[in-house]
Formats: sequence, C-alpha cells, structure tokens
Amino acid sequence: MERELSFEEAMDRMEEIVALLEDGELALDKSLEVFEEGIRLYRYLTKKLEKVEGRVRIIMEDQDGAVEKTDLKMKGDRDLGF
Amino acid sequence: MEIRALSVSEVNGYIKKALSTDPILSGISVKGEVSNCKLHSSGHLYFSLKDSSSRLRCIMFREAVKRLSFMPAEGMKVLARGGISVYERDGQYQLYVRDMSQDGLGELYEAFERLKKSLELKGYFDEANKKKLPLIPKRIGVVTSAEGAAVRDIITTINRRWGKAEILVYNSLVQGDRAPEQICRGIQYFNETEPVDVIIIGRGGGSIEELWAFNDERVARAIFESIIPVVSSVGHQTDFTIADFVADLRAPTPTAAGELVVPELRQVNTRLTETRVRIKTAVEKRIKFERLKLDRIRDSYGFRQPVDRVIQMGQQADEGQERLIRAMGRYMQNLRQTLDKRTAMLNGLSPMAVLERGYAVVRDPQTGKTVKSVVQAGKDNRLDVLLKDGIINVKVIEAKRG
Repeated sequence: MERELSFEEAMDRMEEIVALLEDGELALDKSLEVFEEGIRLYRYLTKKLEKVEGRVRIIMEDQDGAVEKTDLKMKGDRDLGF
Repeated sequence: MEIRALSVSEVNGYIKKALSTDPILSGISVKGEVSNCKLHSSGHLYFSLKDSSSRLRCIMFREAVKRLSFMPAEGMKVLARGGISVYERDGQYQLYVRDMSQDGLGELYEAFERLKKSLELKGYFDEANKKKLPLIPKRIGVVTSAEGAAVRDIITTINRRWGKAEILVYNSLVQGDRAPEQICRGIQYFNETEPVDVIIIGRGGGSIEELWAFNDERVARAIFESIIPVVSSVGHQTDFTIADFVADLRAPTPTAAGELVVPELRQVNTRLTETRVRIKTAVEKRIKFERLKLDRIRDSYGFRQPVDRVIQMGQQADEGQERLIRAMGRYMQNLRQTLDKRTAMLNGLSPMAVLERGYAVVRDPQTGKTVKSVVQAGKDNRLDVLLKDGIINVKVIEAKRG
C-alpha cells in the first residue's frame, strides 16, 4: 500500500478519475479499475471527514520564550467561552 | 488712534472680513492628517488637520463631501483646498474645505511606498512565491490578539463552516512598537515549534498608525520566509498593508480570513457525493455504451453474413438431399425393372425350363460339367441324365458322331 494520500490529493485524484471516466477514452478494463479506485477514495475521504474534531488553544509566549497554552472549550457555534 | 470699545461680534466680524479678503488665505491648499473626523447628520463633515505640532479646524459642506471620491478617516493624510474664514459665533477661524484629496506624499505613506517598492524588487510580492493554501487544514495557527474581536470572528467563522480544525491562537500585540516583533515570533513559532497547515495573521480595523505594525519590514520578512502559507487580514476591506502584499492570500476582513482557510463542510460533502455520483454515472454510461456497441456489432450485416451463408447452405443441402432421394428412387426403380426383365430372360434360359418341356441334360458326374459333345462321352463312361423329376445314371455303350 502506498503512503496515505492527503485530503487534497485524494480529492484531486477523484476529480481526475471523473474526468478520465467522463472522457470515455480508457479501455473498459482500465475504466473499471479506475472506477473502483474512485469509490475507494470516496470512502476514504468520507471516513476522514468523520474522524476529525475541532478544538481551540491559546498560546501565550512571554519575553523569555516560556510558553503557556490554554485550551478553549468549544460549546457550540456561538458560545466559544470568551 | 483711539477707537471706541467694540462688541465681540464686531471684532469677529472684522477679523472675518480681514481673513476672507486676504488674497492668500482665500484660496489655499493645506496638507495634514485628518483627526477628530465627524460626519454630521446634516451631511457636513467636521474635522481637524494636524501635523506634529499644530492643528487646524476644518469644515466641509455637504455638497463638497458628496463630490469626494473617498471617505476621510482618522489618521488619513490629505491635501485640502479651500479658504480660511471665521465661524463668528465661536470666534473660531477654520478652513472651509471645497475639495480634498488623499495626500500621496504623507510621511507614513512615503515610508510605506519605499518599503513596498524595495520588497517588490526583492520578489516578496511575486505570484510565483505564493504558496497554495491547503484545501482542508487540520491545524490553523492564528497570530493576533487573543482579546480582540478579530480572533473571535476568525474562530467563529471557522467553526461555523468547518468545525473540524484545531485552531491555535498565538497571542500577540497587534499595535505599538513591540507588535512587529511579537507578530514575527508568532509566525516563527508555528514554523518551528508547533506546525500548522496555514497561518492567519491580522487584526481588526484601526487608524493607519494602529495598523502600522503590519507595514513593518520584519513582519514582511517573517511572512515571506514562512514555510507555511500565510493569510493576512488587517483592518477593513479598504486597508492595504505590506503584510497583505507579502501574504500568500489577503483576506479583506477576519471573517473573510476564516472563510478563506476552511471550506464549508456542507459543500465538501456535497462535492464528494457529486463526484461519487459522476464516477458512477460515467462508468455505468460506459458499460451501457459498450453493451450497445456489442449489440450493434452482433446485428451488423457483416456479422450476420456467415449466419446467412450457413442458412443458405443448409437450404441448399436440404434441396440436395431431396433431389438425391428422388434420384435414388428413380435409380432403384430402374434397377428393379431391369432386374425383373433379366429375371424373366433368365427364367427363359434356365435348363429347368428346358427340362420342363421334356428335354434332358447330360452331365459328367466326375467334373459336374454338361456334356455338350459326343467326344466328351467315351465308351463305358458313367453319365448323369437330368430329367425334370430326377436323374438317370447311364453307361455309355457307344458314342457316334451324328
């Protein structure tokens, strides 16, 4: 298995596959192969989207370079804990 | 010369007349920085022009304000044209501004232009050097004041649209002498210590002086040297800073910065689904097309031709068979007729038929041969005489030629 594609790369590849298939120039076997790849990418991307969670952290660095980090709890779209 | 005591109005009226008729003051251009700017509900604009040591009150009437191509704001360097006169009620002289333009030669502006030109020559603004923003950043670094409105707008926007990114806010001063250094540290922090996929730097609106940290060469260099793409969002839509030119992308407002760095989750999902449908449709279409092609080939004349020939040959074969059968029948019939004729002839030639008519056949029992001549019958030879109902054994007494 090759290295994991980034979201962008996977998305780009998927678009490329659409173009290839819509073009209709591929050999039938190849187009089925590419089709399967496209569906695999779709599953991968959907799964990837489901996995990610958002959070906010504040970083305070003083003059000596000491860093203090504070987690900001997100309770929803509007209430950001400010 | 001693004159009587004057009323206040008389003094102000006199000064007004003196100033208004002065050939220089009635038509002058004044350059300075706008301050205390206030647009009254009447449409008149009240403000002061100042330089480092002095200020001049100004008024611009509604009709003149309407003709302006820009809206004067705090700190703006302008060139105002008009005449000096006196507002008699307050005993205040002021510049009655008839026309105003932004002063392109203001000190800050000059410094800005100089820096801009020099950075441009260094390639800081080149499109070729601009980094592409990731479509979907997992981690977003924000360099701004953690207390400002800008950071709130950015976080709110990112979470409303996407909600799946980690946002790291590097708390930094955004105005004042120490701001440039802190902004640089923030950019470096994300490049060296805690990598993010994209950096947003910026602040909310303010005067030119307040935004000045973003016109600092150090900030420009930090942005330029950043390996991570930088989005700048400084002040309002109309404010352009050096940071905006160097940044990989300029956002007109903090909210816009949030919109530019993350896509809308809904749209990404829609695009994903659409792409899947397109892939599926394309491949289904392809299969359908191939099937049609196959059908067409199957039904084509060329492909039908051999089948036709087989059918035709079959027909020919059938015909041939029938003809063969008929011919065979005829042949057999002929054969039978011939046979019958021959049998009849044969019957006529049969010795038995001769015997029936009272003749006899003489046969040599030794050879089984018919005795057809007297020379075959020597004296004392035993011979068989075949009659119609049996055989007589005889002995030759004498054989004479007849």
